[in-house]
Amino acid sequence: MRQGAIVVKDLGKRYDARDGRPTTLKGFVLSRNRGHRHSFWGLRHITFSVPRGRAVGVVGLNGAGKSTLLRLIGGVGKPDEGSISVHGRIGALLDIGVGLTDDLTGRENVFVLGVIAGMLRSEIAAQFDAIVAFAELEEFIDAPVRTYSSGMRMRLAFAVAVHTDPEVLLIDEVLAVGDKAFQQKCFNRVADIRASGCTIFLVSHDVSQIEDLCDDVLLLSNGRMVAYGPLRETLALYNSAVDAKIAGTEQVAPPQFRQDDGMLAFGVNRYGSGDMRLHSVEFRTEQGESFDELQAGQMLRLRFSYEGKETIENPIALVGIYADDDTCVFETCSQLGECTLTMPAGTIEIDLWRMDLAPGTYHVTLGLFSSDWSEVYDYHAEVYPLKIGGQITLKGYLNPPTGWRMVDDAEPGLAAPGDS
Amino acid sequence: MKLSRNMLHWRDLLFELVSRDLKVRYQRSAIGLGWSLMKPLAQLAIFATVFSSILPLDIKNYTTFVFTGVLVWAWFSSSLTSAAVSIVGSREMVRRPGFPVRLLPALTILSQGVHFILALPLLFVSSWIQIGPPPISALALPALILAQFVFTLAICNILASLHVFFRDIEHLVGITMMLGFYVTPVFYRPIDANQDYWFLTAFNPMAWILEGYRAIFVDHTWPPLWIYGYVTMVSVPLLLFGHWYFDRVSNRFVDEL
Repeated sequence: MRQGAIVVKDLGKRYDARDGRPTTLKGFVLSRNRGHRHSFWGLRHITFSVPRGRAVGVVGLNGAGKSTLLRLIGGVGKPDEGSISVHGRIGALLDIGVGLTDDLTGRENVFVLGVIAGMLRSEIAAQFDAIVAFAELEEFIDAPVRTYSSGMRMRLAFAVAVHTDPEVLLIDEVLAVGDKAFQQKCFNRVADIRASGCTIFLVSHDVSQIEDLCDDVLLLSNGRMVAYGPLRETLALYNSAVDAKIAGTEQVAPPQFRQDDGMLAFGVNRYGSGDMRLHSVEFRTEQGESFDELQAGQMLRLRFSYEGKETIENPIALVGIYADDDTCVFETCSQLGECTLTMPAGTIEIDLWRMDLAPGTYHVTLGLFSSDWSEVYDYHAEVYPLKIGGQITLKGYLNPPTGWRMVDDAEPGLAAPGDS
Repeated sequence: MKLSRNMLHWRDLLFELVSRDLKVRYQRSAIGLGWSLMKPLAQLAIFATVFSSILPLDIKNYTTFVFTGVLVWAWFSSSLTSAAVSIVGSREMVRRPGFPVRLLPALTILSQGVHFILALPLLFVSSWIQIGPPPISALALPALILAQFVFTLAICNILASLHVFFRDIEHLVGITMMLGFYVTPVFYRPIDANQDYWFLTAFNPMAWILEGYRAIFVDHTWPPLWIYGYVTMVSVPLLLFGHWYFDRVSNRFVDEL
C-alpha cells in the first residue's frame, strides 16, 4: 500500500502567552487559581500528507510557524490538537554546528554528533572516511575543534548530518554553509539523498532552493495553511504575500480590493497583487439554473468574470475544489483547458461535466496567475461553498455511478490479473 | 528488530556522551581524572582526623567506614545536583528531532558513576590495610551499585523534569543534599532504633544502601538481602511516577527552554 511518509491531520499547537519571566515555584503557587493566561495558536488546522519520496518546501513569512511545524514533525514537542505520523527514520539538518564540543578533536566530534543524530557507532565508523572527505578536513581531523574556523566547524557538522541515511529528511534553513563551492556540494548531496527516494521536508526563505529541490510547496501564514500544492502556483502565492508585506513596511497601501461581499478578506482568503480582479462568480446547473445543492453526477457550470491591466499577456485561470478537510479533490487551469484569456476583461465559463463527488460541502478556489506562474493576480482560497447531494458513500471523495450484481461462477469472466 | 536497534543506539549514545563529559572535564588538566578523587580524599582526611583523634567516635576501622560513606554519598549527591539541570542544560539536544531526552538524567548519573567506580580500588586498598584481603562478598557489589543507580535514577528523572518548569529545584537540591549529608549516617554510625531520631536512619534509603556497602568493606560480610527489597519497593513507584510525569510534560520542554 502506498502510504504517506508524513501524515498530518488537523494539527494545532498552542502557546501560552506569558510575560517572559521564567517560571518559579512561587509563581506556580500564587497564580494557581487565576485564569489570566491567554494563549494563542502557533499552528492550527494544518492537514496535509506527503507521499513517500516527495520533496516539500515550506514557505511563509517570519512567524508563520514553519520551524514549529518542522520540529513537531521531527517529534520535538507534541501537538495540542490533531495528529502527526511519520513513517521511516528521521534525519534532520537544523541548528547545524550547535552540538560541537570545542575541546574534543574533529574525530571525536564526528562520533558525538553521529550518535546524537541517531547513528550507531558502528555505522559512523563505516562512514567515517566519507564524512571526513565530504567535510574536506582530512588534515585537521585530529585537531581540537576549538582550533577550527567557523566554516570548518559548519562543514564538519554538515558532513555528519548528511551521512545519517535518513528516510525522511527535515531541513531548516541550513543549505547556506561555508563558501559557494561547499554550498553547491551540500546542495548536490541533498539532491542525491532525494534521488535515492528519501522524503524531504524543507523550510527555506530562499525560493530558488525550493524551486530546485521541491515538488510541492506548502504555504503557511500566521499558523494557518494557506495552500499546499504544485510548486509554481503555490510559490506565486507566497511571492504575493511577500510583496504585500514589503508594501506594508514601506507604507505604501497594499493592493486594494473592493469588497465584493462579506466572503472575501485580503490576506485571509484572498491573495494577489491586484493587477487583475476576479468577480461575479456563479455556479449553474446544466440547464443554467442556480442551485443550493448539486446532485452527484450532474454537470457544474462555473462562470466568473475578470478584469485587469491591458499589459498583461495570457494570464492563467485556475479552478480547484477542496473538501471540508482542506484536501484538494480537483484542480485544473485554463492552460490545460486550452483556453486563452483575453484582456482587459472577460467572462469564462467552465463546464465540469460530471461532478462524481461524495455528498458533502466543498469549497471552490479560483485564481488568476501570470503566464509563467511567477505572479498571482487574484486568488480566492476556498471561498465559494459547493454543496453536493445524492448517492451516499461510506468514505472517500469519489462517487461514480455504481452498480452491484451477482455473477454466475461458471461465467467465463475476468481472468485473474497476472495470469497469462 | 526496531527495539534492538533502539537499545544499541541508546548504548552508543550513553557511551559517547559520558566519554565526552569526562574528556571535556579532564582533558586539559594535569592530573586529569585524578581530580575526581581529590574531593573525597580531602573529606576523608578531615573526617579521619577529626573523628578519630579530636572528637573520637569510637568506630572500629573508622577510615574505611567514613571513606565508604563519603564515596557513596558523593556519587549520590553529585548525581542529583547535576541531573537536576541535565535537561535545561541540553537545550540543543532537546530541540533535536529523534533525540531521546529521557536519557539525559541517566547520562549524568553514569558520568558521576565513573568517578565512583574509579575510586573503588582505593576503597579496597583501605579495607585491605585495616581489615584484611577483599572478601568474597565483594561479588555483591554490582547488585548494590545497581540498586543505588536505580534509586538515584528514580529521583533524578523527577527532578530533571520538574526543573524545566520550576527553576528553584536546582537550589532546593543543593540545600537538601547538604542536609542529607548530615541526616544520613555518612560519617557516624547508623542510629539505633532505641535512640532519638532513629527514623532518620530507618526510613532513609541512602542509609540502607550505605549499610550494604559497609557490610562489604568494613564487616566483610554479605549485605543483608532486605536492602534490595526495600530499595526496590521505594524506587519502582518513584520510577513509574517519574516516567508518567515525564510523558505528561515532555511535550512542553521545548517551549520552556
